[in-house]
Amino acid sequence: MNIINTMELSASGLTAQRQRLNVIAENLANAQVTRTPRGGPYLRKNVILETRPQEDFGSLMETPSKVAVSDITETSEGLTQEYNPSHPDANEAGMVTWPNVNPVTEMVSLVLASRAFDANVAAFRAGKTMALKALDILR
Amino acid sequence: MQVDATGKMGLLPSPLASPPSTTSASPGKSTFQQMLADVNSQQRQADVQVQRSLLGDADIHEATMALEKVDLSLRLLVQVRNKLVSAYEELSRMSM
Amino acid sequence: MPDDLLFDGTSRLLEKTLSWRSQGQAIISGNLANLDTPNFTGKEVNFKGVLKDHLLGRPGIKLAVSDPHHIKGSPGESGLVRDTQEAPDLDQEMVNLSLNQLGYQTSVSMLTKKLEQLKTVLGQ
Repeated sequence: MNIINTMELSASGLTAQRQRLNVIAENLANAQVTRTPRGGPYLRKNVILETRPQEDFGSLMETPSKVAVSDITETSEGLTQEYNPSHPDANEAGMVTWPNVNPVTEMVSLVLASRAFDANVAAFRAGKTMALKALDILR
Repeated sequence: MQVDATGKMGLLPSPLASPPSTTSASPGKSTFQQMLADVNSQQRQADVQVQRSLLGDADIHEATMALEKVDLSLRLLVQVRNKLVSAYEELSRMSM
Repeated sequence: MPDDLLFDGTSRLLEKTLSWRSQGQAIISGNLANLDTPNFTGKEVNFKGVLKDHLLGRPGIKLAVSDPHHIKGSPGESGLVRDTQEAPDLDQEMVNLSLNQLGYQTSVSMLTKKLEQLKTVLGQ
């Protein structure tokens, strides 16, 4: 398999990890938001990744698959409620619903996504070095 | 010479021991002409590999290896030609 | 001295790839410069397509001009630059940058090698 295709694989990894980072940043920024245009608190977003086989279908068994973001889902489980009647967003019972974003979990995901990004960069660099070394044969 | 797992030494056929056969030439062609034809076909092979590598069907090292082989074969051919020419010149210098 | 005498098809093909690659460099630089520009759609060089066309002997898309009613098509590399219809992605463009440079170096090295072969034959 061509080394160039391998580098394209790493590229897809980079894009996917960057989107994960973006979503995590959005979650962290909106961790205290109780009021959204839709009404209700901010719902934590999650990125779902999937494999996507490459365009040229020589043989589906041979060509490794790229990764792509299939969906960004919102989850509403784990929303916490707090009794605070003086809060502008409190409902009739005086309860305020806070987002289900746990900063600690998000930070861990952030570190993981960042590491995965670095790993993809390393893989890409390795592929590039190999290709350049193949050119050294001509020297 | 290669040492295998049991420590025995054996002789592997190396490219230096058995030079590429140019002696299987047909009677009509000289050895040099055979070499010329070989280099020519190698050249065409290398061109095909280069095209394939540009399209992405072949790895870069396949194309570079093919190009390098052609280069070496060509240099060998040129050396052989030079020797033949100088041998001919020496012959024609001999006074009859 | 005509070009065909010294340079075979592969050398000329490699030369062509060099000009395509340098155009690609310009395109990618444009994409990277306009990452944050609103309503900007990324452009890409259709390298494989143009190469295939070239190898099959039909550079660009030649419109049929057999009938006097046919519109004259403009020659040249139509189909080299394509609009992707979406905003450029930083990571993908960086990768394209690297791959393009690699392709350029590959073509240069191979072309140099072929020229060296010529020099060998000429006795240098």
